[in-house]
Parts: sequence; C-alpha cells; structure tokens
Amino acid sequence: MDNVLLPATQLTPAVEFDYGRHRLSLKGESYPENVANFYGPILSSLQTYLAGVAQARANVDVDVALTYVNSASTKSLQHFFSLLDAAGRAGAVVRVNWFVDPDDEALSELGEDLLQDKLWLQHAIRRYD
Amino acid sequence: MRPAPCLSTTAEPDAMLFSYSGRLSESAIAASGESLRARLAARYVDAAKARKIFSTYVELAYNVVHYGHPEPAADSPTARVADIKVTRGDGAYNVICRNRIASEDARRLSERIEQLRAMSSEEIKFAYRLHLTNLQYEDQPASSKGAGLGLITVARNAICPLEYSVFWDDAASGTCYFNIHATI
Repeated sequence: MDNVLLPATQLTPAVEFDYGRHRLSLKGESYPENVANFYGPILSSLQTYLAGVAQARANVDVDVALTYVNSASTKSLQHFFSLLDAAGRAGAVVRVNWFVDPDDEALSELGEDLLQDKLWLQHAIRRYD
Repeated sequence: MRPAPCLSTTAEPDAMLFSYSGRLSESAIAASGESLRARLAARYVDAAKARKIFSTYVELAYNVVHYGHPEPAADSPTARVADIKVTRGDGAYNVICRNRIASEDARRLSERIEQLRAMSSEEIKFAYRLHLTNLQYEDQPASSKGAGLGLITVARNAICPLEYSVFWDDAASGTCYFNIHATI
C-alpha cells in the first residue's frame, strides 16, 4: 500500500508513514481548523496498514515530535495512539518515542496522558534539543 | 478550595502587546498567531508564558470560528469576527477576547465558565485529563469542531479564575457581545 508522506505546513505536522520499513513519524505543530479533514485520511490509511502488521508481528517504530498541539488535535492523537495500542494487543510490537522539550510542561504532560493508558505499546518520553 | 481572584493593585496602564480585530479564519489565525509569537519573542516574554499566551489565543480564536455568531458580510455568509487583545500589566499577561454570540450560547458559556471558576487548578487539570482519556471511547468522526477541551485549556493556562462579561447591546437580535479575560 502507499506510504503517507505529507510535508509540514504552518498548521499541520509533517507526516511520514513508511509502511515498508514500519516507521511512522509525526513532526511539527498541529492546529488545523478542521482536524477531521486533516487526520481522517491519515488515520484511515494507518488503520489499513495496522490490520496487516499485527498478523506479521512486525516491529513498528513511531516517532512523535510535536511542539504545539491545540485542544482539537488531541482527539486525533488519542485515536492515533488507540489504533497503535490495538495493533499491539493484536500482535505487533509497537514502540513510541514522544520527543519533547523538557521545559514544555504542556506537551510533556500531554505525552504522558496520551500514552500511560496504552498498555499494549512501549513508550518513552525523550528530550530533543 | 476556590483560588483567589486576580485583583489589579497598580494604576499602571496595561501595555498593549498585540491586538487582532477582524475576521477570524484558519489562515487569519495562522498569520496572526505567528505575529503574536514574534512579538512575544521580541519582548523577551518567558518561553513558558509565551506558550500559554499563544495556546490561549489559538483556543479562543478557534472558539470564535466554531461558535461565534456570523456577521453579515458582502462576501461570505459565515464571517466570524472578534477583537482579541494581549496586554501586559501588574506582572501578568492578559488575553481578552470579545465577539458576538447567540444569546442561548452566552447562557451556556457563562455556566461553563462559572463551573471552571469554582475549580482549583488541580481540579481543572484532573477534569482535563479525564476528558482527554474519555476521548478514545468516543465515536470517531463525531464533530470536526473539536474535542470539547478548548475552554478548559484556557482555564488551565490561566493563573487565576477566568473572568467574563456579557453586553446585551442588541437583545432583539438574539445575540450579544461576550467578553472572556484570561490572566496568564
């Protein structure tokens, strides 16, 4: 299936889903006006990919490096991690790195809040500078 | 325990840092948001505060886009207009947003703000986390408007309870002006 490769815009993150290498990445900021319009197709594609990957028990590496996330975008991030968590439960080995500036309290907490209840994926909060 | 309200103790006029007055849209928010960030950096505003000011600005601006009463405009039936100011005074920053909304929305919004005003910052944080966790159990496309976390994010960014006021300038029209003031 086709990889997802979207460059960052002022309001949306760069999205690189390299399905061949099982590497997924979100990098930048997220505050589009219509969150469903932006994330809908991406998450749909992800869902299709993940259905295949659980069977194969593949190792999926996910890097998330977001510097601003508005409240509406948190809903899509919840959906994103829920899909990954479900894939983990179905057999894939999912590792998530949440990159954050340690001085950014809001984004540090968001990462913890989104990831701590996803018991079927491994996650790490990493600093980036 | 209810937190103490903000009381201004000096007579110094607030320094105007930034003001946007006009139509709000995705591109207007992007452009004015960048301008706000640049201004905050140029004035050496502490990075943590600057993030909260920017976050508050974006949340309030999008609330106008999603819930504001449209202004009749020659080119668009859905133009939403607001006046958003960022000022500095008395050791804190103020983000003040004023826009027209439907009267029944003003009632709902007032109730919601009153609920938040009665909460401590720990309670606000807890309510935020609870709502965020529950998002994963909601049906998926649901509303494109948001996660329902905008106002609570603004309350969370603030250092004291949100203030608001309503101006019933044209009650016959079924709308009013709503003013929200966040101190950061």
